[in-house]
Amino acid sequence: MQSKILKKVEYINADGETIRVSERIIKEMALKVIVDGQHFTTAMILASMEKEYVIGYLYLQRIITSMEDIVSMEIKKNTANVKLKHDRAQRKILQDVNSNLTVCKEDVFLCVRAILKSPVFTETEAVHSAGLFLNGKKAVSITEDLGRHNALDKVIGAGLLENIDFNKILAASTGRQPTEMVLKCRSAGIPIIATKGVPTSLAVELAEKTGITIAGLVRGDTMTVYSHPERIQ
Amino acid sequence: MADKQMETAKTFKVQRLTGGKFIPSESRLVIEKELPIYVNGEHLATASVVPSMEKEFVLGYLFGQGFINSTGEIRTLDITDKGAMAILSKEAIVSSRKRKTSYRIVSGGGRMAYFESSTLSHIRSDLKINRQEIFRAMNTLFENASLYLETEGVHAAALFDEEINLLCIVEDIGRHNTLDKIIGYALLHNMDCTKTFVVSTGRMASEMVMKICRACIPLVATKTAITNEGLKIGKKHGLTIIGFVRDAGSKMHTNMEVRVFKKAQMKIYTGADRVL
Repeated sequence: MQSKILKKVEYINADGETIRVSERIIKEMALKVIVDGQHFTTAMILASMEKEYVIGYLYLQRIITSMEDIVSMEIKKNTANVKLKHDRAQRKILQDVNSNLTVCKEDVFLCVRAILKSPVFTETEAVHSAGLFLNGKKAVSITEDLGRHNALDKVIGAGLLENIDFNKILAASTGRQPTEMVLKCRSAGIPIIATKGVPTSLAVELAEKTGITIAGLVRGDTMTVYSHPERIQ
Repeated sequence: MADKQMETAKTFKVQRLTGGKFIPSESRLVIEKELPIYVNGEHLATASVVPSMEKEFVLGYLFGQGFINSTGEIRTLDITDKGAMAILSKEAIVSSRKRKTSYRIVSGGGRMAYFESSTLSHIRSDLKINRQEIFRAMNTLFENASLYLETEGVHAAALFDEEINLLCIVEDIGRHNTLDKIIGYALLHNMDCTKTFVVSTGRMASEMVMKICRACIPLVATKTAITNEGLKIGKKHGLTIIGFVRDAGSKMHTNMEVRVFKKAQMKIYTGADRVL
């Protein structure tokens, strides 16, 4: 595993006797995003897939519509320098997600299991995972981050790099799903969210209204579908 | 402890897969509320919170983000239908601090005003806590986490005094919100935070540790992990950080299974002199 995302530290183990031991913990990175010379944001992320993160973030913030809006991007140390096309239009997002994607319940379990096989999680227990699956079957991208929001930004960025049709995507996540996660999926046009966690009230209300399916508590052989169950068969 | 009892969970009609079939069923979900925060009439931020202890939340938020240094700087704070309305005694404070503030996207989601940790002072406290009492405090947190038991959709945090009396317990959708509410509660009641400690269910990333340091709470124990930046900031400011606090018999959802811890464990990452 790359030491870029893990750092060895010492701690005192207090399980009966007190001993000094060491382990590796998650590294936080402050990634500064500069857009056309202006400081756009600084994000605390796990130092992996920085490029995908920036692309996904700019896309979800409606700054770019596709990769064609990015003239150049250079990531050096903790700074991403992005140059955008000047005559780009602000990205329009649809009010509702219109997609005829349907998946079978077995695939929902497979997608959620696929993102749970994270070696970084096994070692640190400190990351969330997210993954995009084309037609609920083929993994487009799977990644981890400190934050479930960041993990989703990263895989959506990876999807843009591959020119994926988000209308055919199932997004799997390990975390609870508040409104912001649903807003991100709506922004990209992703019709199905599957998680081992649960959504919030507002997230379900928004998903119901905008045509997004949320399957939660995907564990073992059970799951709960909170909105638009017609997409899961 | 909340000023008024508000609904924090709501029933939804769902389809539940059991025995290979989808069956119409009901599910209780945690209520997420959007709370706009206005300072001196100006919109500062909109928070997503569980509708409880909103006043405490706003106080803790304004303090944690560096917009106020004490409750004395707030003239009035009202929670209305339109949001939280705070009037600060010195109008200049907000705009000057807002200019100096750079916003950051933090791992808990959303943006947070970021102030340099160099402005934090060293935590001075002679608090000492027995290891067994940290387990006891963590167990108390779980025993009282009723919203978690109902919805599984929240983080929890609690504030204790030196004698392990429970001062305040909070459950919220965000781990930051639980801290903001607890710190707001302490501020509102003029507590000496150097004689208290926090237990939490959340990961201790940089911004979590920063908030605890700013409140001068000398010790935090979480059931889960810390990050390198969280550790660095905690070490620098004299905070005791204990991670992976898991008493014998405690349960945890990992991946798709439930794990039971046979042996009690905790990991003291920094400030071990406060732990007996």
